[in-house]
Amino acid sequence: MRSMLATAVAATLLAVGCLAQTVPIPSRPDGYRYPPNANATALVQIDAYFDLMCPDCLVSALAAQISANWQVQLDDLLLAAVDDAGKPFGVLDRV
Amino acid sequence: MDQSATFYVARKLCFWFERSWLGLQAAWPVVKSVLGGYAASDVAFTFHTFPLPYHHHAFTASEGAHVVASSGKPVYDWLEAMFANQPSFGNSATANMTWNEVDTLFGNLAESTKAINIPADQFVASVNNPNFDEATRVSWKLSCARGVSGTPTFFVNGALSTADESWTVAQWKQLIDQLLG
Repeated sequence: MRSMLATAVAATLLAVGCLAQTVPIPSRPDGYRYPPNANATALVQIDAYFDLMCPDCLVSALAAQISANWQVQLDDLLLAAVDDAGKPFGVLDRV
Repeated sequence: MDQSATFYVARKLCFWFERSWLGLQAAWPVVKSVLGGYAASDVAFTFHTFPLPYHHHAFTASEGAHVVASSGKPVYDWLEAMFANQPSFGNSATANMTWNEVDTLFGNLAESTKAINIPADQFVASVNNPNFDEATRVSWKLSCARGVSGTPTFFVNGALSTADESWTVAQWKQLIDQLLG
């Protein structure tokens, strides 16, 4: 009797646990593709989870400075990070 | 850039980052640089926002991405504007501000970011719209269901990767080239 009760309790907990794991189905696939024309059939699919307020994730001028492919430039007293093509993507600060 | 200017900027950034060494290991510029080297048909990248609860305004920042995307504006301009202005929205920087004042700060950023240019009032109304709030919660729940608990976290072809903010361009290229054969 006791084991039956234990089994019933375990089954209930499992059912509740499963319900708690249910995630609402989003209206469209989550996330933002990069580049926007990224191919859904590409051999390598990378999913990244970034917190926009997380310093480890941010676009930083220092990271830009130490990377061979990035540079930091002062332009009209605006500090901007620029990509390989020299296109600025974010003003970091006025100096 | 003269040396004193470089020093000034570096010092200012160190102040921003609180733990300045973190600034040396930022994930997004490295990943973006790597992606630039591959065809869209070979490597596809998806940026998911995962607001961490101990960054008090991260949820609004993430909700902002939903707002921008639904307006048909370029969402990456918002993501990068947020990164570039991250220090202004940090816990210390906003410690003496009301929630509404911080919302206005977000609105001003949306309005002043060139390619977005959503009026501040309209943006603030949107981040207070329950539909955008719900969409942001669903994104967060999906990330949790995949086991994400910190950022940055990377999955490659569905598998959790050991890649993190310390990965260099060379490490990423090695991984991708191996998969592309």
